Amino acid sequence: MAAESDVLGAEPDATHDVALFNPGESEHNTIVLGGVDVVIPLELDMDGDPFQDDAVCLRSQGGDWEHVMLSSDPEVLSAPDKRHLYYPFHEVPSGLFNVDVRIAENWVTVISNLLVSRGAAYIGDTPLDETVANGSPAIDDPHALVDREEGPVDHSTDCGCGH
Amino acid sequence: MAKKHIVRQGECFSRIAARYGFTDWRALYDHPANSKLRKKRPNPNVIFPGDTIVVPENRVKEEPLPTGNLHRFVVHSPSKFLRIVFQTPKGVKLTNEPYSIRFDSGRTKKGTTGGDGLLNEPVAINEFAATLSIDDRTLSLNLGHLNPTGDVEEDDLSGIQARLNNLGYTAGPNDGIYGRNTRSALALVQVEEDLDVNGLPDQTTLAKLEALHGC
Repeated sequence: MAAESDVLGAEPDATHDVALFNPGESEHNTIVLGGVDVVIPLELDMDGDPFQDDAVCLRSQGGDWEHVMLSSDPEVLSAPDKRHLYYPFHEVPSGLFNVDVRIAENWVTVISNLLVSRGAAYIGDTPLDETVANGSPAIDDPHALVDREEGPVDHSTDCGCGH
Repeated sequence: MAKKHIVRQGECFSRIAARYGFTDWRALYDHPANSKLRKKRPNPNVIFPGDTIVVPENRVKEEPLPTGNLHRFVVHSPSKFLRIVFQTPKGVKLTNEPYSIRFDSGRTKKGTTGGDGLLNEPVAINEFAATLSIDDRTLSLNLGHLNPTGDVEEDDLSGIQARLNNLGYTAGPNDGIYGRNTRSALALVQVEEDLDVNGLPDQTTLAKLEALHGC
């Protein structure tokens, strides 16, 4: 009972507005739990500092979902050519996302408008799977990719990951 | 004398009926003075804050009975049901899944979803929120808060956003505002359901969204 009480007292993972129904009615609400796995391919050592872990943040454009992975995470795989790393993000909901990399204490957007759907993730019209198969997205100079429209991401307010 | 009631967030016909002493929500919903609202809100469980409901006079029922005897009267209190189908992003239903739920009244209940992934729990008329534990997740539920998708003031999109978020699309907060997240979430639904992709809440998309959500 204590364990159950602890779970119910935990910080909610999500909040949902739902309808109530009268006896005998067949209507219902539907809640989708979890998300899809999205693998982000990026060049190795994007921060230009070989002595520091790369930190990669996948963040919904609304800011209500985000997750940070470090290149040292055992789940992060390296490509055979050792030049690319594959960051597997789990349970990603459908929507529009940005991929940010921490460079010199600043979060820099390296992929904008990553579209995650139930079937696949896309960069523009290209499925991310194809990008993974072909290697990393063409990001030659991440320093040149400071978000051209919005400027560097201020994670002191946007990111709840503590960075 | 009839009164007018302005709907507040979280209210439904049953709750409003109970507040004015009616045990049956149909006494309000089916009243001729509410015929316009009935057309606007074909689902009595999903009404919008600001909707005006005419509350008829609640007549006292008289029952002549002989004195000196014991008479038993049964009053039916209105009840509602929380009905949620849980599924994965791929559409797989979470069948026979154990859950625990605690209502804001303090009442706690354990159960298991059915073979169709449906959680079906009776809810007291004075319970407005609940915390649900299922599939190693904790969800906060606002009971009766789901707003309609259409015919609302100032083109408020909160009912659309709530359904999108329930269905696993990141539409942002249910603030009613048509922003980039709502637009992209609507576009995603349109892509996945093979509809015209414009990111707009057109009638076809809203009908599909309600069908996907179950209401």
